[in-house]
Amino acid sequence: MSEPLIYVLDMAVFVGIFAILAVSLNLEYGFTGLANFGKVAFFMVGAYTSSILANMGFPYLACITVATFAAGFVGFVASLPALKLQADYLAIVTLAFGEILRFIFKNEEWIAGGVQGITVPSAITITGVPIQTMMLIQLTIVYAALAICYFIAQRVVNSPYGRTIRAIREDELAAQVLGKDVFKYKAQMFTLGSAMAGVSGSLFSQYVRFIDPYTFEPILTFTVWMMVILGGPANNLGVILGAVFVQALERGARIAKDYLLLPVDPHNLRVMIIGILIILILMYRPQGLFRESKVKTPALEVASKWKKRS
Amino acid sequence: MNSSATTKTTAVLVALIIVVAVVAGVGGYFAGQSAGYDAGYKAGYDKGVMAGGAKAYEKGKSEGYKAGYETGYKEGLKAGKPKGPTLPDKIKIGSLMCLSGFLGPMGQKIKLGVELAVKEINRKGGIAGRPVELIVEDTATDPKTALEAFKKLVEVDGCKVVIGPMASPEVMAIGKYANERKVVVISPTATSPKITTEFPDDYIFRTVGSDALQGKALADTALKKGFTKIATLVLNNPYGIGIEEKAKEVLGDKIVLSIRYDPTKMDFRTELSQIKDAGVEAVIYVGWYEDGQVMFRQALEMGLDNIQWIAAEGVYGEPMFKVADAAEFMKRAVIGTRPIAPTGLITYKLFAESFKKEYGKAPTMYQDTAYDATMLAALAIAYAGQYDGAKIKDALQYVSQYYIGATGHKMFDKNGDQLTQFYEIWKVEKVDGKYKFVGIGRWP
Amino acid sequence: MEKTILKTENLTKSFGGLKAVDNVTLTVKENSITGLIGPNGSGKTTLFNTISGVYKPERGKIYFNGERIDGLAPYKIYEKGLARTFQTPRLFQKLTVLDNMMVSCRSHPGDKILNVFLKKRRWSEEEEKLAEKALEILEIIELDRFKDKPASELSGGQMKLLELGRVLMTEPKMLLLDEPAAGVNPTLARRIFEKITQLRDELSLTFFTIEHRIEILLEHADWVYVMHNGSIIAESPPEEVVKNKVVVDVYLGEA
Repeated sequence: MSEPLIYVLDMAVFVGIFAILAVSLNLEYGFTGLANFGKVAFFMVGAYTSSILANMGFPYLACITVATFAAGFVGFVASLPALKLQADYLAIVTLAFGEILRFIFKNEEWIAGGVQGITVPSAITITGVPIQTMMLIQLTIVYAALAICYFIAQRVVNSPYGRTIRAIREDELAAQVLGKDVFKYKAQMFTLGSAMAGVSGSLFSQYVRFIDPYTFEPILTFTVWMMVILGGPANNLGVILGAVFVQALERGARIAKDYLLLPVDPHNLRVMIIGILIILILMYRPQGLFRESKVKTPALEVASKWKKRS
Repeated sequence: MNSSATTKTTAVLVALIIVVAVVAGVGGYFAGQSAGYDAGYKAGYDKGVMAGGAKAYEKGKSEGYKAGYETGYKEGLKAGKPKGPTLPDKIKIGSLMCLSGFLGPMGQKIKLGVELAVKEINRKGGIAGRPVELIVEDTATDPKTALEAFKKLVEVDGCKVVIGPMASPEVMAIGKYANERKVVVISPTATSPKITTEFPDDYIFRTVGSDALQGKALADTALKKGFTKIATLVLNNPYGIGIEEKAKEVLGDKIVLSIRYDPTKMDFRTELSQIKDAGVEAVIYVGWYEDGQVMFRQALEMGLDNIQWIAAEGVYGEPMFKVADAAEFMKRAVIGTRPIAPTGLITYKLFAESFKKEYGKAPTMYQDTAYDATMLAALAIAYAGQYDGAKIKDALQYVSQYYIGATGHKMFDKNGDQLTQFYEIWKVEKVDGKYKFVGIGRWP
Repeated sequence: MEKTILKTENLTKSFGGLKAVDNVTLTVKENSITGLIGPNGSGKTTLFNTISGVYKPERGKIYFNGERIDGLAPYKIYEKGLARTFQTPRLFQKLTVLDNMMVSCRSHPGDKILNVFLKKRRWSEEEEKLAEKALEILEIIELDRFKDKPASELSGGQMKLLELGRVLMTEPKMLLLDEPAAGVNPTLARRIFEKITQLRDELSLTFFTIEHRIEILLEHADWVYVMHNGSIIAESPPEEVVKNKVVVDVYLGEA
């Protein structure tokens, strides 16, 4: 019995996993202005940490928790030298970092199977359950995690802290002379963003149940960037919708080719479409589909009620 | 007595009588009404009960009849189902091929083997008279994409059999899902020994021998020639490492140096120096065309043609001769193994003729195993008589015992691996100024 | 005698081979309005950058309220009570006018990452107070009706005002103002300086301001330093500076 619904639910799971990555990059780039091109590295740390622990028999909650901290820690360590550099160099350094990490995982077999990769048990340990139920449980787990990450992100950006990181994004020097230890804020956001990527990596690994170094190529980082740019940097809801859009495009091409006559083969077509979209967005609507969200704190309330004194 | 008193008394008596009569009459009326009501009520009630009961009975009877009829019909329908083959009108066979990405060029060619089998089957009227519909999806040589493409074939198209995927990591990525969804997977090209260990006794099959065998073949070749100081030089990927591990198993501490290299480096003098310094007698080598060309050219420069190189099939092919130094090196120092069908097979001849007729050129590597995989799938479906994954899997195991395909006897062992796989031992000769590959032996 | 709040000793900063700040020794008295003038390229902004920590001095010392501050990061110097504005306003373009003001917040509990989650109630109150303070200052500089507009939508003059308003939020002890009224119409410029004087009196602030218009300095400044080619060539009350031949020559030479 084929189940097109399962294919749709499968897409929904991937949307959830990537939405977490998009929110994490949004914190770093959309709000703080950090051009992190090594997102896949921290995703990979989360995935491998979680998988190694799961294979050792630890319950999934432990696996994902340790994975989150591991990814956050690696992010913190990576940020220390990288953040001292200017924005353009940060992009290159983070990209290189990702590749170096992947190289290490590929060559050091003792870590996790090296090039052969490792299989990973699912987070769901009950058996004898129909696949539709399994999918629904997976969806619940992934979207619960997404909700938590979204909540955390919103709390951070709708606060004086959130105002400060935006100020740093706009003009670092001005923020400095207004008393902000810019380096500290950047390091904190980079760490938080990396930890969130670790959450996503852990969820991903238990869902696909097989990971190898070829799974974590830089193209994954660029896919997440597309989601942020299209959805609208500095709008958490926007980037989540960006994730929906990009995933739909990736999957859609494969389905569309059965019904429409496509000019180019679907694999290349979806890459082309996304490339063209990015160019159009950057030319005509650089703020993305959704505008930057305001800093929502009690200050807004005070401002709206303000009456002139004089 | 006087008359007025009598009249008065009479009047009073009469009035009294009238009053009593009236009262009695009225009282009687009411009493009569009440009694009449009671009697009437009782009679009416009794009759109503009888009539109502009868109606309910009728209703119950008719409803009961309806329900009984429906259930009876359903059961009868099930029981009355014919026991013979009930294949769908169109039989879907899915295929996961690398049509883009690193193995894209190779995949475009291998796809032809699958398509040829389907064409032949349909020309003969399909399976039990039903045509075969082939649905091909591109995996882009990426395990994540392979899983997504596989899910599309299974959930959206409803395939119960899939030919492919090509690369071993792709098979690893879809294995668990295939077993869960009970979909038969037959890969014509994935050779990693890890597939045997990770997916034993389940829905994963392959029509090409595991590299565990090729590793053994290479090692045995070294043993037969009496080498005792051997190096391994392999690609840093599942293909190379799989063979290296098997060779180590067989040769033990005769292997004094193990090198894994990155094919994209395009400069291997460091590795070659290590080999030179180690002073080995032979090198077991696993490489591909592009890196192999550079490797052999540089090996020639460094004078490493005085040791015996024993290579796996990755460097077997005309493209190696594009680089003159590599060709020369191969002629001087390289022998190797490659999986082949037993020679003189009439089934191979028939396949090759059919291929040439259809596509205008001779078949190359792995189109034959792809053809065999597809044919086996069709036979299994036919034998199962139902388009059901579990039944097709059991049938596949069985029909493989009796199938001699383009690449020989394709019997699967209990792990879905090829029970037998033959390898040819080859070398390179220069004939009339042109280099060519020549077979010099067999394994086992 | 008034206390010295800022003192530099032999302060030097070079770029390449060029000495932009050459052996500058000066003092600024507390609660004064001190001017800094000089032709373009004389090193005035570089001097401000060095004092506020944007550049590290090559040689020399800087004292603020008796403490050495040379070599400290800009944010640390701010914490000690020394704030500055920029000649070309460096506003946070995409943030609203109100947000621009509220970024300046000394020890706001909501500005620490952990408190964002843990102490919401406490920082909510602080936030409201901060907003009120910001709105009051915005009213003073007449930008309160733009409070929800992004800073990028302000006119040039309004941007300079916001730059000033923002730095007033910081409750500094001393302000380095880099041409606070440049490019602003004369009436507004006058009003700005009247405000500066007022603040100096009300809040006991000290102002060290780079300003070209000598007539403004004549009206409001207590002391004026003149810079040329990185060095201080004159210092005196403003009315004497205009009579100083050296200074006039330098300015004429520039023209």
